[in-house]
Amino acid sequence: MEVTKAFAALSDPTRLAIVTRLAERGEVDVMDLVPDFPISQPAISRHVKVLEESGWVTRRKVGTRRPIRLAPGRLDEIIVWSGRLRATLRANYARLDDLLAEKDIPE
Amino acid sequence: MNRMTMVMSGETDLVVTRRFNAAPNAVYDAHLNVEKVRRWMLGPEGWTMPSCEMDPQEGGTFAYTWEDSASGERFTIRGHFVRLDPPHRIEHIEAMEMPGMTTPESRVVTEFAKDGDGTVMTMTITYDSAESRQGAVESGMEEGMAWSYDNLDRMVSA
Repeated sequence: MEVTKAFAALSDPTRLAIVTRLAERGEVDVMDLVPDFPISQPAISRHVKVLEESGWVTRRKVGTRRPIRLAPGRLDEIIVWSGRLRATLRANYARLDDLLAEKDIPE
Repeated sequence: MNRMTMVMSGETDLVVTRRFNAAPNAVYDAHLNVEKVRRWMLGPEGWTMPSCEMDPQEGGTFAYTWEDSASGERFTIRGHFVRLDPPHRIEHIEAMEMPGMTTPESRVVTEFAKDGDGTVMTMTITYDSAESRQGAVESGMEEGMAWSYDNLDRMVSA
């Protein structure tokens, strides 16, 4: 379910924009993001927390600063839209749907 | 509609998720009951499964063979079950045998989680290398795309 959770986190436009900013800038303080958004710093922090919990963002401690950055490897995740393996699995699972729908047939 | 997602994760993993409108034990059973597997794990349209052998216990082996009815081309997926945890999890090792070559082994963990009155299946395939994963994903790319577009045609004209 990790992947589903990760992509659900990006379904919010603010969070998608934060991820885009981090991809451009590397490591930033949350305060540095504030001028870019029409919402308050606590609201941005809440979005950052969701991104941390879903694995998109990591945070480290540097003195009193807590800068954030994209988690390594996260952007390596690529959705596969085509290919024989995908086509095969789709066809298989459509047939499995039909089989599972046969609730009234005794085994 | 229950959509399938397929995502490359990390260096060597491929993660497939799909929801089914049935309880986890029914979906789990459909993966390990040879009569059921023969009915759904048939591959792309036009392929048949002339042979399906399975010993569904930890350490037990399986071998599924598919044949393209048009060309007569055949391939086999052979492997063994590592760990069975009904109805939540199946862990197995598999390799694909084609004429003239056999792929390296990959490890497959299939998990079934209750989701309301249905099940969300998450299948994580770990290949031995990033190259093997790329090969598995890209094999028959054009054919697969054509097949998907045929399906799309049927869907939008229905």
